[in-house]
Amino acid sequence: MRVKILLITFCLTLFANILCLPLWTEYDYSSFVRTLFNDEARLDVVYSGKFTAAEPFRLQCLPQPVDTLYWYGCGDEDNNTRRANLTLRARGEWQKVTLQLEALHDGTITILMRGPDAGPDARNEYDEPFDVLTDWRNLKINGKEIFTESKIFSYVGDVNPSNPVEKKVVPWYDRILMYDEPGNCTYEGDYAQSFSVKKNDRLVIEVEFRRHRVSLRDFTWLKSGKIRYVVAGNLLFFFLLYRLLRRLEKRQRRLQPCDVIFTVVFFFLLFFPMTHITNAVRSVREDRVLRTKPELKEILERYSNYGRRYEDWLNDHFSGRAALVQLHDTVRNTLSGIIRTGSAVYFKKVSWMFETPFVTDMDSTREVRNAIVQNLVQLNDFCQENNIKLYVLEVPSKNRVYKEIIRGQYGYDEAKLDEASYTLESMRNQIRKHGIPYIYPYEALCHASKQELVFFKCTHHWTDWGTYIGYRALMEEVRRNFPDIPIVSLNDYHQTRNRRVRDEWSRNYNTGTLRLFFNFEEASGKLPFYNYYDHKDADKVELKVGKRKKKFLYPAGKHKVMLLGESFSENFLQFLPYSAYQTEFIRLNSGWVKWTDVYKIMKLYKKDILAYKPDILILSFASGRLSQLRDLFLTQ
Amino acid sequence: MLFSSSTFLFLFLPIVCALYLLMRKEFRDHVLLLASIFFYAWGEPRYVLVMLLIIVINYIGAILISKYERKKIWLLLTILGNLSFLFYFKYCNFFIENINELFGGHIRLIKAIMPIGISFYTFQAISYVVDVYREEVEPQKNIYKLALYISLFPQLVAGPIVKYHDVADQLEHRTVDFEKVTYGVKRFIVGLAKKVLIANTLGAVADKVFSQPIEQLDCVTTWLGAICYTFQIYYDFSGYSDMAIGLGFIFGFKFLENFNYPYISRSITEYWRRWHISLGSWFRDYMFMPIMFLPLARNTVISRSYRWVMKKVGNKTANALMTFVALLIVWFSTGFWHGAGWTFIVWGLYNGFFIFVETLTGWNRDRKSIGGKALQHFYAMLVIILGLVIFRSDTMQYAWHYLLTMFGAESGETIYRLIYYVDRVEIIVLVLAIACSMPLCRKMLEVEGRSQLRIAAVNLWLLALFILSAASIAASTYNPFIYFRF
Repeated sequence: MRVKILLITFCLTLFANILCLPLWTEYDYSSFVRTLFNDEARLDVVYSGKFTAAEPFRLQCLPQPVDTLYWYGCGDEDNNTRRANLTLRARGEWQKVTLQLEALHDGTITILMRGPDAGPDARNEYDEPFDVLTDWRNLKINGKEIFTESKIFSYVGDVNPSNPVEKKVVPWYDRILMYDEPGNCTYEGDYAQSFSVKKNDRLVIEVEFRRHRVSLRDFTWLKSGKIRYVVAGNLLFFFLLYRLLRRLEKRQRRLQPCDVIFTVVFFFLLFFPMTHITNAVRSVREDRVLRTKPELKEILERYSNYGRRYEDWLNDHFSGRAALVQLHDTVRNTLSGIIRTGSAVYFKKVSWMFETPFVTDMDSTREVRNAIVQNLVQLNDFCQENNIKLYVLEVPSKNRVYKEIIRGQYGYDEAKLDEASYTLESMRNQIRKHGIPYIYPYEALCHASKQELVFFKCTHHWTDWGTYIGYRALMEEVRRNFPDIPIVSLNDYHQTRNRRVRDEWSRNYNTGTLRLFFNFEEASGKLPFYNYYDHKDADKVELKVGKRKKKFLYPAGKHKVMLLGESFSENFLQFLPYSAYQTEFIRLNSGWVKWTDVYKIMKLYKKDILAYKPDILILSFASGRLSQLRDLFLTQ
Repeated sequence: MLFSSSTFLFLFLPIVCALYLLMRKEFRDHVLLLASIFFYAWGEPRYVLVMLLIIVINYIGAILISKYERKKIWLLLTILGNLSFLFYFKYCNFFIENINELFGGHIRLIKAIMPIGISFYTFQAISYVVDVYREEVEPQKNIYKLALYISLFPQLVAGPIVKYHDVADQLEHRTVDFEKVTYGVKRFIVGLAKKVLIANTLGAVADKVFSQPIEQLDCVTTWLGAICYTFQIYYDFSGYSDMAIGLGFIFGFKFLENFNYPYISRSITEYWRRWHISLGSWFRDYMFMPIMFLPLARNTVISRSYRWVMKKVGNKTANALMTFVALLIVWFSTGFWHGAGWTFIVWGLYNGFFIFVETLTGWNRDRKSIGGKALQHFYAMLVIILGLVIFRSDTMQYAWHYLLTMFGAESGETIYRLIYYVDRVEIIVLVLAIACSMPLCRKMLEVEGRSQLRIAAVNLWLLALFILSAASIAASTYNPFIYFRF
């Protein structure tokens, strides 16, 4: 009997090892399944060099990619990147792809051969993408063979390289927002090939690729330092299981096999999350820093909340958390007609997202409104003393402009939305009476919304069209004092259409904020096309991008303009720099400023304003942030 | 530490189960005791001393009761000792506020946070000393066993209130076997799903309704809020009880059932035999019966007064009066036990009133016709739902206006349609909640005489429920930083 139990224990231990394989190998089940069914590969072309507003290269790809996405990387004042992400259809057999590239500026071109980025769902607890593998071979550049043998690449690089590879440094930077320090990117492996180019250089890049053929060998790549855990884990599991089975044998009860399996699986599920606590510091998906583990000595503190802090830390780091969250959200998002979280609501029927509460805190007290007026008057005085003309632009809230949608879905009384606004309108008039041009283009946006969407459906920002309306309203006011300042017309622009959103510092197309708020992605077919406007003279603009500033120099423009604004100002930069000769934009809510200090403008930017000496200073903010104008002159 | 938290589910529970089940028998009680104290100290490190003090008081009190002639004095002192903690932490500020309001005083409120579970474990402790006084059980010589009884973590924070005589034997002799563990696991999963999937979902709806100003609610919305709350509180409480009972089974304890499908009741009397059974039976055994037996005591003020009343109004009326007084005291105490607030007191008296009327009129007798049964059931549900509105409300004023709105006597100006409160998910959950509140799947967890296929199907379903519950718990930790996205 003992031998039988030993055998059973051995088999179950082996089975458990197979189940727990992802804990100590580089390759895990999600990667395995995704690779098996993968039908995409990515070929990225990255340019880095002196930045311009126009395209740094021309590209032709055969066969036609499934999708092409242009992507800006933000760098420092001298070095920036521009990327073309080409998604190719991958099959089980080898296919050849040919890229014809013409460099329009001097710089460095890097070709990245990679597995697909399977999206935000395909992330482990470190927010690293799962390894979805593709095979590549026969890379040639302008007829010269770079490598011929088959190599396995994932999204992030070479998989299990057999030989040490040379570290290469490329000055590029690939983050969505400006929070991270710009700098160099280092990579190892053959998946990235880099070379210098001069203006008008032509390159022909040929390579073959296919979906990776999965084999057992893929599971033999052990994580470093894990061998001792494998051995210890196996010994402990074997010992515990043997004891358990011996006890069961002694009891001699009529046990239901289903119940035995059920109970074992249950306890396995209980133990599993703790077997692998991640040490991730940040979650890209949740866009926040994860909680840290409290020190043991905190238990001894007088009002210790060690228990709660420990729970918070554990909640952010236990294994399988992402998968469980995804499961919950998938069920919720599939069953719900209206997806709700604490801060937003998404009406699936009409594919509209709105932030909540619908009425912001600006149904405020008289003290707050008086403080706002006072601060703006003070700011105006400061500007007048320094020969600067101040303009204030308040971007109306999407909830107000599209209140009919909210009313149609929720029956929410739009009078409630308007009620707060009547009080605020009297405050705006009070500001205007002090001679401060205050632009609130609500009526213009409502009117323009009948023609085209003025706000994106899946995020809170305004579209290029909505921004243009706001820009025109502002410039018409500016022209009263500066009659020679040009106002751009849409005829000066190339118009393109895209279902994706382009709204942020990086000027990259993205899918909006549905993923962040709801862990949900709307099918692209349900989203409308938005019009995007790129000026025909983009290559005549000298652009310098820094940590929290962008500087534009446009010879055909007039006057010096400084724009202090938030994310709503980003789309503005498609238009404003083509009116002014020199434009400097300071992003208020950059990652370098504490969120409590965002509107302490005089504390943070007084020196910049005085150094730059603009003719025109524009203070732009969203309606929802109006109350924070109380902080303009705070120095603490 | 909550049962429905990831720390409990994925850290505390597996470690304690592993240690307990693999430990030798003589060490198991120690493991459980240490785990229980750790469990309590995790959330309330300071107040674990309160619980330990109560254990010591009751240990000494029981020994003195059993040893000395003047049992009653020691009993009263021990009970007073228990209740003094309860009074200080839970009720002191209530009395201070009311005294200040009545007499215009300015007595400062005490800065004490109520230790979690104090209402439950003080009542358990009282049940122990009373059982010793009544000589139903021997006083526990081993303080660790008594500590284990009072602090046992499965029922420490949310019941059921386990009477000492129900578990005295199990403290000394209990066995753990695979069948019990399996049943316990299943029960735990059912309780977790009730709490996390049903109670939390319906609770969100109820909270949304009750958070609106009463002027913005109409008849339909108020009924929606009341019904959702009715099911929220049932699934929340019974879910916790199921988890406690399930955990008890895993550790070899068999606790009595605490809920028995209360929403199929046809009278409030029946309702309280099915709802929070441990509390109802505690008040019956330790308050109602002693009060009812007071007139039979020899030559006391109460017995002499009772005999005088009996002579004046007759036996039957005197009995009814006595019952009324007893119910008044018991239901006042029941309401007050639930919370230090007038809404709880009124709710308790409201229940007591209906029980009294049912007893007097015989309404709670079994009806033969389906129509009669339906009418009884409708009456019972109506009384329960309206009572829970009072229970849920922050103030009596709010409760009053809410009830008037429910019956159309008042109507607010709604700014939201119903879809603001409930969507498909909430409707599905509400329908499931109503269905599962009936004993349709009473024997789902039984394996005796069942086919392997049926057991496997039920087990698969339970595992799926567990994964869904864990997913819901994980999702509550998902906390994207939205602020900067403007």
